This record gives sequence, C-alpha cells and structure tokens, in this order.
Amino acid sequence: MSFANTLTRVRYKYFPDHLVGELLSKRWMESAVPMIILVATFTYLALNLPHYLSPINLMDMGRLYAEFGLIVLGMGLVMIGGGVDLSIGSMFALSNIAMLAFINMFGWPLWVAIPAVLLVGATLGALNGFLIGYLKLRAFLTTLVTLIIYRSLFDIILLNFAVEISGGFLDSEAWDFIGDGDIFGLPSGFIVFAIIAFVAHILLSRTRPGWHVMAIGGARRSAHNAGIAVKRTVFLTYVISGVLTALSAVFFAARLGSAGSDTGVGMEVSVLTAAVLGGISLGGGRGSVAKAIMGAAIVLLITNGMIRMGMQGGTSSLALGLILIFAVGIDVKWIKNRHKIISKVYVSPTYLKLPDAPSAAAGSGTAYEANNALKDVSLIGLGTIEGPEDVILDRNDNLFTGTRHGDIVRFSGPDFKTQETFAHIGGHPLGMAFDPDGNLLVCVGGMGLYGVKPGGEVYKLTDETTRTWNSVNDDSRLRLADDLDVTPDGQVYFSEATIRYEMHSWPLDSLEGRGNGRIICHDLNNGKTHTVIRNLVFPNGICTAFDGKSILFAETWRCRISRYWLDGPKRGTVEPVIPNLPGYPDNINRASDGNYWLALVGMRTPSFDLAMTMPSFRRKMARRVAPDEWLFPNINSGCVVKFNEAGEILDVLWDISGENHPMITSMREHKGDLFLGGISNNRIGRYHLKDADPDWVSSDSYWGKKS
Amino acid sequence: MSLLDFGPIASFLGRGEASITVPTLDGAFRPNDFLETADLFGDYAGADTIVVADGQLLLSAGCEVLQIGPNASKVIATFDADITALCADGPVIAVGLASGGVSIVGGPHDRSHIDAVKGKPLTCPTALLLEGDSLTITEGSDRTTPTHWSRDLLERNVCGRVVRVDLSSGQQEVLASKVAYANGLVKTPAGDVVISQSWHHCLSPITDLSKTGSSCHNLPGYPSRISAAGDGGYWLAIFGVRTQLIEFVLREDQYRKRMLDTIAPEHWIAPSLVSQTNFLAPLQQGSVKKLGVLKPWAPPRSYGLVVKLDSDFRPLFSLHSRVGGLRHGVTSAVELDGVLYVVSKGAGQVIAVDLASVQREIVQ
Repeated sequence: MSFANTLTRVRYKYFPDHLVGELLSKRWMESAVPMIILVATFTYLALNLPHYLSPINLMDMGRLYAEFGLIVLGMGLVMIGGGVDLSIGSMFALSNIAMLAFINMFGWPLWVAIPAVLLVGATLGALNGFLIGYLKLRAFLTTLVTLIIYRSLFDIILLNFAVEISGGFLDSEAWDFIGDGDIFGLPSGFIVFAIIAFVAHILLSRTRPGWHVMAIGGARRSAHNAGIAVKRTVFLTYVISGVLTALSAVFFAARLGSAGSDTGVGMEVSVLTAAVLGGISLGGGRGSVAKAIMGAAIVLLITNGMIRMGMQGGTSSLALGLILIFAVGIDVKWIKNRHKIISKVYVSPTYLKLPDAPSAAAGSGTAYEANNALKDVSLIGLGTIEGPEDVILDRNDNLFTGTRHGDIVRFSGPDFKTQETFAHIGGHPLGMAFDPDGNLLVCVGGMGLYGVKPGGEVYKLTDETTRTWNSVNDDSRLRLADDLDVTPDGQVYFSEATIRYEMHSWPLDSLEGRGNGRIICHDLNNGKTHTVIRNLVFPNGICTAFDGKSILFAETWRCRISRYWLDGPKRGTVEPVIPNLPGYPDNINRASDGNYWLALVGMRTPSFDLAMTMPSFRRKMARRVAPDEWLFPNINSGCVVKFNEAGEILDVLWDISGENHPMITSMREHKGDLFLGGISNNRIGRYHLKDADPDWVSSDSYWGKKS
Repeated sequence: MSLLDFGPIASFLGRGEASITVPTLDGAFRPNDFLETADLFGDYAGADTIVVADGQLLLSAGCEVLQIGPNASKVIATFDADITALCADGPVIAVGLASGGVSIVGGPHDRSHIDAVKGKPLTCPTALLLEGDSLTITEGSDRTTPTHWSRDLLERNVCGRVVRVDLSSGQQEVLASKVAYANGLVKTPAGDVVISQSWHHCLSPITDLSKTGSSCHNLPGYPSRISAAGDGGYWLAIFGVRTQLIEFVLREDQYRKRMLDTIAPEHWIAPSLVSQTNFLAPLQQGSVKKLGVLKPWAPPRSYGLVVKLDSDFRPLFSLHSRVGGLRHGVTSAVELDGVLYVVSKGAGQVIAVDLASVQREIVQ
C-alpha cells in the first residue's frame, strides 16, 4: 500500500494535471489543432517533394495563396456573420472575365479597370446581400441559385466574346507587376493579401462593425434586440465577400491572362473547407482572420501538394470532400460539447497526505477537546445579515461585517442593536482590517483589495498583482482575495485562496487540494502590488505578529499555521507554527493577552482525509456525483482556538450542538468580548471572555492608543 | 444494455453497472413529515422489532422482549444478547440473537435454541415467521452479525439465506440462498413467502430472487421488515436511504477497502440509523448548514421512511422523517386498530401514527 501511495504521490507531484483543463479553456487552443495540421502538412511536403523550399516554388505558392486566401477571408467574414456564400466561384469567374474584357476589349486603363472590376464584384455580392440580408432568404439556397445564375452569365459572355476577351494583350509594366512582380522577394499579390488580412483582423477584433458581425453570427435575435443593424451588416458582409473575390480575380487575370470555361468551378468547396478547417464555425459567431489564413494555407498545401505528387484530379477533390466532412463534424461536436469537456477536465485533484489528526473528541483529554462553551453566546443581527465572514470593531465600539449582498454593515455599539449599511461594494466582503488612518481595508471575493473611508466612501486598492510568466491561466487578476492584515510600515499582506476558481466555486478547490493559492503584498505607501508566496494550499487567515516582524498565515486544506518572516535573520523564510490541526483553519486575529485567536471553520473527517490521498477517487467523484452529493470537509462544526507564538494550544471554545455557530470563519476580541462570524451563517455571536482585558481594542494593539 | 455497460469501459464512462443513479424521492415516495410529527408512543433504548401477538404489541429492545401499552410496559423475556429478530404465534415467541441463533420461548418447544441450519451457523438472523411448528428464518449474511450490517453492505456481500425449520421434527430446509441481505419476510394470503433484499433494494418472492422479482424493486432505500396492513396491503420499513455518494463508494473498490481497513465503522461513508451530528462523520456538500438551517433535502446519511404497499407490493405512499429530523433508522412497523406503530431504531422510539389522519391528508 505504501509503495502504491508513493507512486501516486510522485505521479501527482510531477504531472501537471491542472494544465490540461486550463489549456483547453483557452480560446486560442481551438487554433492549435489547425496550426499543427498546417505545420505537419508543410513539413511532409517539404521532405517529400523536390525543390519544395526553393525560392521560385515558394514565390509561386505565395501568388496562389494570395488569390485563394482573399476569397477565404471573404467567405470567413460571411460565415462569422452567420451566413455562407456558395457563389464565390461564379463571382470569381465573372470578375475575371470582366477584368479581361475591360482591358482587352474596351482598352480601359488599369486605374479605371481595376476599380470597375471591384465594383462588379461588389454588385454581385450586393445582390446576394440584398436577397439574404434585406429579404431574409436562406443563405445556402440563395447563394446556390446565384452560383448558377452567375455561372450561366459567365458562360454566355464567354460563348460570345471569347476571342475578343482573350485575344488582346495588354502591354503594361504595372499589369505585369500585379501578375508577376515582387517587392523584397515577396509576390505583389501576397503583400496586398497580407495588408488586407491585417486590416481585416483589426476590423473584426477591434472595431465596432467587426463586433457587430460577430454578435449577429452568435445570436441574430439578440443582436437585433441590442440595436445592431442586422440587415445592413449582413448585406455588407456579402458585398465585402464580392469585392475580395473580385480582387482575387484581378490577380488571377494578371497572372494567367485567360478565361477558361472551368475558371472557378468547384471553388466553393475548397474555400468552405479552408474556412471550416481553420476553425470558423458553420454556425456563425466564431472565427477569426487568423483561422481563415490558416485554413487557406492548409487546403492550398494539400491540393497543390497532391497535384504535384502526381495524383489525379478526382483524388484531390475526394480528399477535400472528406476533409470538409471531417472538419464540419469536429466543428459541430466541439462547439456542442466544449463546456462539458472542459468542466470534466478542469477539476484536477492532487495527492495530499495529512498527518494523522489530533483527537478533538469530548473526553479525549487533548488540547482541542470538544466543549460547549459557546452555547450561551448572545446574538447580533440574527436573520438580518447573511454571510458575515469576518467581523471587526473600531475604537468607538462600532461593529463592521460583510454580507453576501456585497454590503458592509455597521452595528453601533455598545448594544449593537442599530444596524445600517455602511458601504456597498458589490462583491462579498471577506477579511477586514483597519489601516493607521482608520480606513477599513477589505478583501472582496471576486474583486480584490478595497478600502472604505470612515465616511463610507469605497476606493480600490488593487485588483491585480504581477503575472507569473509560466502560468497558463492569467493569474494577474485577483479571483478570491480572502483575508488581510497590515504591518507597522504600511504593507498590506493578503491571501488569495485560489487562482483556479471563482468565488462561488471555491468548494472545487477543496476537492483539488493543490497549492493553488498565494499571499500578496500591497504597499500602501506607493500603491505597488507583488506576490510574496506562491503555491499555498488555500491560504486563508493572516495576522501580523505582535512585534510586527512576521506574519502568521493559515492554509485551510493543509490544516496548518505557518509564519513568514518579514524581518530579522530568517527574513523571507516560512516556518511552521502549528503543523497539524484537527480542523480547517480560517481567520487568525490577535488576543488581548498577547496570543492569537484562530477559527477552525470545520473539522477533519477520516473519510475526507483518506479521499485526499486518492486523487483519482476525487476526480471521478467530481465527474460522476452531483455537486450537492460530494464528499466535503465537515464544515458543519467548528471551534475557536487560542494559541501562543510558539504554536501551543491554550484554549478552545466549541459550539458542539451547532445551534448558533456550526461553522466559524472569524472571531475578533474587543473589550472583553469575542465576536464570532461565519460565512454561511445569518448571525454574529458575542461571547464574554472572563479573564480578558476589558479595555483592549484591536486598533490600539496595532496603531497605539488614540484619544 | 450494451457491451459498454460492463467492465472497465462502463467504469471509465460511468454508465451501466458503474452508473450511480438513485431513484428520487417522488411519486409514492414524495416526502412528508408524518413520522416526525406523529405522537411519541414511548422511548425504548435499543428498540428494533415490533410485532402484534394476540392483540398486544410486543417490542424487542436491547436484550428484552417487552409487551408495551400506552401506560405500562412489562418485560416478557430476557436474553443474553441483543435481539435482532422477533415473531410471535399466540403465546410462543421466537427471537433471533446478535450472538447468533434463534431461541423459542413458550409453547411445547420452550427454551429450545437453533444454532445452525444445514451445518452452517446461523450468524445473522434478521426476521422470523412462526406458524405452529414451522419456523422460517431470514439470515442477512453468513459473514457478519446484524450489528455490523454496514460492513456487509460495503463488502458488497450477497450471502444471506432463507431457511425453514420444523420445530417438532427438527427437519431443516434452505428455501433460498445467495440473498442480498434478507432482512424481512411476509407470507401472502396465497401462501407465498416474500422477503426483502436490503442490498438489492427490492422485495422478492423466494422463488425469484432477481432484482425485479416483484413489483417493489429499485427502491430509493434499503428495505427491512415487512408486515401485513389492515386493508390487505403491506407496510415496509426502510432503514436507510440510498445516496449517490454511497452508490459511488460502493463502486470504488480501492477507496472502500482502505476505508474499511483504516477507519472506525461509525465514520464510514455508509448509511446510518442514527440522525447524528458527530463532527468526525462524513459530510456532503448539500448538508452544509446555510444561514443556520440544515436543508431537509440535503443528502441523507440517515432517514426515517415507512412505505405502504398494496396487495401486489406496489408502493402507494410513504411516511417520512426527513434530514434534520430525529426519527431515523426505521426497522419495523406494524398496524393495530387503525394505528401504525413504527420503531425508529435510530431515535430509540416507538411512534404511533394515526392512519385515519394520514389517509385524509394523503388522499387530498
């Protein structure tokens, strides 16, 4: 068994399970698959075809790519907007023949002919756009029909004017340059394509019209309800598709200078394949320029490569068709199941072996022995506050606490009968502390570190810290700031319980048991924030030692208290204070007699401790069992512990009946009383301490007496 | 059912035999508070089985058999070990003992004791049926005693049996073997014997032990004693309710083995009879107290449930004590003069439910 245990421990120590889910939840991961295909195809062809990497070949490929890529861009745009354009092949043929006619038959100069051809493309696209956008015909059928109409038009023109159109020969350097030229070794068409792609990328991802297209493709009705001009935008996507197709035809005409009856035949299939393979969803709303570029490259490499490897034309079309079906299948399945897969893979428990828990059973005679000392607490705010994670009192006997509604509530002392909303922050306020100026500093779950001035004005201290260079999830944002304390020199040390889960899904972190949390320092003097300690297992309570030279912090799922030295010979090191608690530690605060109070939010159970050493059991549980049915740390019974600088347990207070304080997340001593809070409770308890200093106020302990 | 429903593939996909779906408490099992709000008949520490003999209520509590009434109760017989099964036929009483075996008190076979049947010791007698000289015994398991039933569940044993002993001739007969914890029996008017199989969540005629042998199968809990109701139907006591977590643990061999080996039985992930608040007991997320309230629909570690069945063993309605209540671990229920007497072993109570009022509210 111990060998198996070691094996499990080693496996979970060195294999980063959690990265799988984090990578999968990145949007750019969707582009990774086409990227890999692209690199693989290119490598294969480069190794197997002679002279594949030669400049001439690359130059030729670049020209083909520019022509093909422009059309894929147009198609991608239409698809992102929720449509499809099957008529591009015919539009391409018509534009091509128009270009040749303008220069050969009519003898127009290029500066007239090229805009005229673009206008032709725009007109053809506009017809599509008008039918689909304004008349709301189905995109698939409409463009199928225009595909046939445009193709017939092309056939008629070709039949009647084939000789005139192909006969002439324009002798122009500019025309040759368009078809054949290069700048710094890059084909002219490729440069134009690169510029257009860049502009399209900016347009699609950074500007309002681009977002409108995305929005319409994602949810047409919602976009309409949001006030987006759906009809016009859809219309414009088809126009742009027509223009890009015409532009592509210009380069084609300049390169070949001829019109054959098979120009553009079957182009819609390869363009569609390119778009879908790149990751542009047929359903609309998902896609990017990068995806279009990648998809175009893959399809071009494959078709071109197959021809050059001597395969017959039919094979190439067959391969394209198969790829298209495959890509569409993946596209549909992936979009449908993406969230399911991610939610299944994201939770990744690890091996956490805790030492055997010290007994706390009544009659066990240990320091933690259960009692019912807290059964006679007097209650504050019963039923009128929800979720007082932390409580704090100022010098004037006012009690402050956070609620799950995002308020900070003030109860006026000394009887605490008057309740008022002191400030509204929005997120659930957790740990609280006073700074030297009497501002209330608050850790707000999901938001970060905030401050409230004595007048109730809320201000932000920080919601971010330094980003770790090698983290997949962006860990610069604060997800779950938990508890804080201030050192004499104005440094705020606060814990962030986990960087993998949001406020409402913290129970998932308990299933993981990984060091997902950290301690962060915010300097009140210069406003800078940096991360101090990483990879802590749900760091929670923080308290500055009485001498101000170290901070004490609790790691909840790890069931231990440690000390981090800020000063002195051990500066910058962490040493254990209480290495093994029988329960899950939460907030730590100062006691009047120079010791510390510690809240145990719940107690360890043998069944959960065992589960923590069996990651695969917990992972399966997270996937199979409904969340309400998960095995959970027992946070239905907790207690308050007093310990000294050496980590010895001096006192313990229980509410074993669980009537008022089944779970205790914080306690604060003030003038001989102990005030108790609980994150899922609806009351604050007030417990009279017999031997405590009746004048002791925590702010005085931190900042000295004030009149 | 397909090949995907068995073996490692099922285990990987969580389907077929590895699926952990549990019937919801709905339909005939729709929750109510009848058990929790009913009148207390009396507190009896260790109460386990209640039966009717000659119009009197007999209750086994600890190692005593008591005749109980609204005002007084008297001890009829005392044994050396806890009583795990009880039945009476006129003045004759038969009891099963936690130490093993069945003892008879009264009648021609007074003080006789059956230790073994067909050469195998009778370790886990759970229910008895005495008709004249013929005694039918259900045995939960041949590996554990009734006190350690949760181990038998977690070991996934299917090794109970139903035996019949003729007291005068001494003839012994095994009616059924390989039973998934036989835990109660009743004889239908047609003369068939129907038993409850706790670990298969069903009632079965002894001629057909499959999981769907009767119309009372795939129960949401673990069935226990059955008794005849006044209207030709039956009362079925259900001592615990299935949860997804327990079903899951039952399929996780490695975890289960280590839990059985290293953790004290009261802290296992297993159903419990007692509605307990020990902080070392496992907790499920839905059972976390919110705003000072333990939700009644939280996953139940212990539960109180009695089901009314019709004469074809189809569930009709049920009486509940939900999560947060006390009257959990119902092991036996018997009807007498329009009142249902329910034994909550977890609370050590006998509860008297007025059936007329239940009928009124259920019908509405």
